[in-house]
Amino acid sequence: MANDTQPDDVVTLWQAQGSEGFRMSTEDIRKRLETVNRKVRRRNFDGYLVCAVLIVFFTGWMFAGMGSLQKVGAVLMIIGISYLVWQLRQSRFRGAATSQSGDTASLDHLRTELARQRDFHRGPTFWSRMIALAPGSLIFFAGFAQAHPEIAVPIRFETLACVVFIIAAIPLNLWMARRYQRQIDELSHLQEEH
Amino acid sequence: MSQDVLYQEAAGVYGAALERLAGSYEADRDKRLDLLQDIHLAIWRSFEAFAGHCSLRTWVYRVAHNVAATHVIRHRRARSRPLVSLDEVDDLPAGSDSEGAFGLQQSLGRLREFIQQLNPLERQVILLYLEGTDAAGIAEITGISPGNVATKIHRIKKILAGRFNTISKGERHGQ
Repeated sequence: MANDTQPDDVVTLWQAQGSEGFRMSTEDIRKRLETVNRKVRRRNFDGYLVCAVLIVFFTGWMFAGMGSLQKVGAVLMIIGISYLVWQLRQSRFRGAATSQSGDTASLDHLRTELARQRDFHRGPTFWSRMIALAPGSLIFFAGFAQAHPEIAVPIRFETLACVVFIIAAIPLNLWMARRYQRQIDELSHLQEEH
Repeated sequence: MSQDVLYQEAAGVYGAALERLAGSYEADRDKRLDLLQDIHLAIWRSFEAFAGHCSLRTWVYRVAHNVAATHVIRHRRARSRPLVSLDEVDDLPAGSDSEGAFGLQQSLGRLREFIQQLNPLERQVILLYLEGTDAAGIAEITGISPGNVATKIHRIKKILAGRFNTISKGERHGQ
C-alpha cells in the first residue's frame, strides 16, 4: 500500500470538516447562564440535603442519646460534617476561577486543577477532614455501645469496620495525591527547555 | 470593544474550530453540544476581562481548551479507557479497518477517536496543530516550552503519517 499521505493532508482533511455554524445570540447566552446557574444550585442543594439529613440524624441522637459519650460523639459528627461541606465548597470555588480566563495558559490551568485535586487528598485539607470526622464517629459508636450493652457485640464490629475504613482511607488518599503529583511534575517538565 | 461585540467576532472567526474542538473532546452528541455551549459561554464571560495583552486567537483557544480540559478531568472516571500520552500511543491498536481505503467521514472518525485517547494537554497540542497554529502559537496558548512543542509536533507528524496513510487523494479532496 502506498504511503502517500503527508501530515499536511491530514491537516487539510481536518479543517475541511463540515461546520454546523453553531452560534449563540446574546439571548442564548443569558439562557445558558441561567441553566448553568440552576444546575450548580441543584447540585449544591443535593449535597447540602444529604449533609442536612445527617446533621438532623446526629442532632436527634444529641438529644435522644443515652449517655454523655454518645452525645459528645453526635456533636463532633455535626461539626465534622459541617466542616466537610465548607471544605468541598471552598475546593469547588478554587477550581472554577482559572478556566474562565484567557490569561491562563492551558498548562497552568491543568496544573491548578490537578493541584486542587491533589490537595484534597493530602496535607492540611485531608488531615483536618480526618481529624474532624474520625474521632466523632468512633466516640459516637463507643457511646452507643456504652449506652446499649445488650447490643455491644454488633456495635463493636461496626466500630471495627469504621476503624478499618479510617485506616484504609489514609494510604488510599496519599496514593491518589502522589498520582496527581506525578502528573503535575510531568507538566512542569514540559515548561522546561531541553 | 464590548463583551458582546468581541464574542460575536470570536464566534464568527473561530466558531468552526470550536465545533471541531468540542467534537474531539466529547464523542456523545448531546454532551458535545453541552460542552460547546459551555465553551461559548466561558468565552463570552472571559471577554469581560480581555485587555488585549494577547491576540484574540490565543485568548479564545486558551479559554476553550481550559474548559474542555476541565470537562475531561471531571468526567474521566466514567471513561473506560485510560488517557495516554503521544509516547504511549504506539502501544494502542490502530483500528480494525486500517488496511482498507477510507471514506472522508470514516477517516475523520478515526482521527477524532485517536485524539480522544490522548491526555488533555497532548490533545490540545494536536488540535492546535491540526488547526494550523504554528509552534510559537501552540507554546503561547498551552504554556509548554517551544522546544517541547517542537518535539511533540515532530512526534505528531510521525504518528499521523503512520496511522492515516490510507487516505487516498480522491477522498482527501472529495468533499
